[in-house]
Amino acid sequence: MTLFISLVFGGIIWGSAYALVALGVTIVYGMMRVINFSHGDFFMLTAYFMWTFVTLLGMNFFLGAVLALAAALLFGALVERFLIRSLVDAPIINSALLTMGISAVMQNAVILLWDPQQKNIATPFNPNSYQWGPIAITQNQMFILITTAAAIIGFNLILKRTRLGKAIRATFQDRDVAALNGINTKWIYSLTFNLGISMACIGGILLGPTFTVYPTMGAAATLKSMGIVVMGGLGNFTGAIIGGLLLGIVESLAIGYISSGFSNAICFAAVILVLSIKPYGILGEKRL
Amino acid sequence: MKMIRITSVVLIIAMLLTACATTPAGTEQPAAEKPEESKTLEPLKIGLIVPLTGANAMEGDNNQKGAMLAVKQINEAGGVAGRKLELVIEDDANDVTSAVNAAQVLLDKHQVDIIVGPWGSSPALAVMPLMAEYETPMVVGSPTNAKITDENNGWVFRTCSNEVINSEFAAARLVTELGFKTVGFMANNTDHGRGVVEMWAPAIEAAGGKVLPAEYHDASTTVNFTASLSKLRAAGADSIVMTPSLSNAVLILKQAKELNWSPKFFITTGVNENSLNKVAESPEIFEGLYALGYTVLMGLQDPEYKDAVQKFVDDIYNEYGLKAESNHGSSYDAIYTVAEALRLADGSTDGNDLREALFKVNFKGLRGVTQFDEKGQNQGLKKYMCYFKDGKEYICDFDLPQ
Repeated sequence: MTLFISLVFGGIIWGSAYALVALGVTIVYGMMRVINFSHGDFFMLTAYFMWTFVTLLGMNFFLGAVLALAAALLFGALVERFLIRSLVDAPIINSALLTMGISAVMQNAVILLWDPQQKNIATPFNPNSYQWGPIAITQNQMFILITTAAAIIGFNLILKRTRLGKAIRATFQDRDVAALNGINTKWIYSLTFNLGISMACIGGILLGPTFTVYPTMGAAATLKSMGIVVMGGLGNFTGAIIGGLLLGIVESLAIGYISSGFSNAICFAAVILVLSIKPYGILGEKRL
Repeated sequence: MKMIRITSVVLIIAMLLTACATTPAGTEQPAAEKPEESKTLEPLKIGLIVPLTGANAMEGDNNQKGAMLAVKQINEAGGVAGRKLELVIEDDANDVTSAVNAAQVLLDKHQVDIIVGPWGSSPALAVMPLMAEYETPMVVGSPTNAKITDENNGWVFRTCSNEVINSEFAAARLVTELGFKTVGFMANNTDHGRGVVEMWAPAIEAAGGKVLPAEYHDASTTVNFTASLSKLRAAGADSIVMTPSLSNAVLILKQAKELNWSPKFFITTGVNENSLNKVAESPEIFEGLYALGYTVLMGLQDPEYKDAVQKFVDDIYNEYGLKAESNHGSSYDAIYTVAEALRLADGSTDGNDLREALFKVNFKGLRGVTQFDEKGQNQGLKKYMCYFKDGKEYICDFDLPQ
């Protein structure tokens, strides 16, 4: 039982981070109908910016995190302005191919600008964990849980409780009517894309220092995010959160009770199982 | 239309950038200078296959630098038997398919006379059949899976140790001297990782230790080891034998501390404080770690190798401004082995002549004496059982841990 509780708790911590990154994929797809295969690379790029500010330039950890987020979002805004925006109304396969290309370019650009070696970002947190029975949690893991929860709640509040959120929803329900009502739809597109990738960028700030930073770290994040959003229901925000937590727990239990060598296979078997029972995902609905 | 034009321009730039970023592959290094005085003799073309991208990029980059330094030194000393050495480097990302492609490019396009590498066991095993087909020798300085030489391919020579030799040297000592009683393995899901478990687990059991089912991981995608560590702790492990890349080993050590768990750790690959300090936030993370050590750096503490290793450490620093690491030394020694074979072959670059000469090699390098048996396995490598204390690596045999 001790092992079970410890594995489930570990699964929730990492699952919450998966959910955060996956939420970004579902925001961009749900609102813009763009499948962003470069999503995980924004996660990676933010971690590289953070390594530059915190480790290379010796800045304060939190200041470095804010600057890294700002730099990654600025880059994201340029990508949206010059590449993604041209895909409005284009078939989904076009956005998939373009973002795959962006992903390859970003990974190679990072190798060119930095280097391919794995990097470490020191955190200001105490490395020892607090222990309550079978549960052990470090300050860094608390930081991940709190920031993830704050980001998810914050996004939901923006979307559902603010005029801006109303403008976003209106734009993606009917772009022409929204424009006739004075909404700057181009700006809304840019903002939505950046809101989506900001989830990946926050993930980079949280997980870059927790693990290591390397050029292909985003590819694994993208793959897991895609599995999560499909399992949760494409474009469904709550589904992405449930999917992320579920995948985190399944992965942890699979390693704990079956074998670490099969954990990825078991995770994607879980996705297949969910889709065979609920073809549109846990909370997804058939689109007409 | 304007947007389409802009998008097209950006995509073209993107493609160019992608192309630029892959320049390490196939790049002919400046160390490979063209011979000046020997106009009649072509240089010996050495193909080097190392991971310059992916999870083992750090190890591969060090490997590349060690080889380049050796080539430079040999050429500056006038070459061997009237020939200079020329290095052609290909990146395999420690991936099997990329390694075969890299070898094919080296053999077909660059028509190399000999290959040094690949760095990893799985890529090396995948490339071996090509070497027999092209009748071109291959000298590997890092991969330790026993199959590489046990297959008796006839064209493969290993300057480093293998897991049979390593486990015979260290597995019993882990149990009897260092108190490894219930042992869990955390291994790469590769030929290297599986080879370690295959050889070390029975040796540990034979010495009286208990071995738990191994935990395998994909080195390039796994960064979270907490579930595996929790499982091993629940199964009663008091010690862990690891095989992964250095950065993953550091994550395992760090995550065990986060779980408030302090088993004994041993890493089967030759590591040292310089490489660990590079990837760990602080030396506390690898305090108490046991490791297999080789003379490349540990020789500094061995009176027999001290002077040669110190010269090598100084040369690496003078050339690259870097602290020497194991992977600098493994390729450095492999290149000197190739040069010695070229000398014994009287400068012949013919594959059969070089192969015959490699069997005759007998010289003292940085890693002990290099002398191959009939399967191409170096039997003269010197090894140490090492441990880390206060951020520094010590040899157990000379200074047992307290």
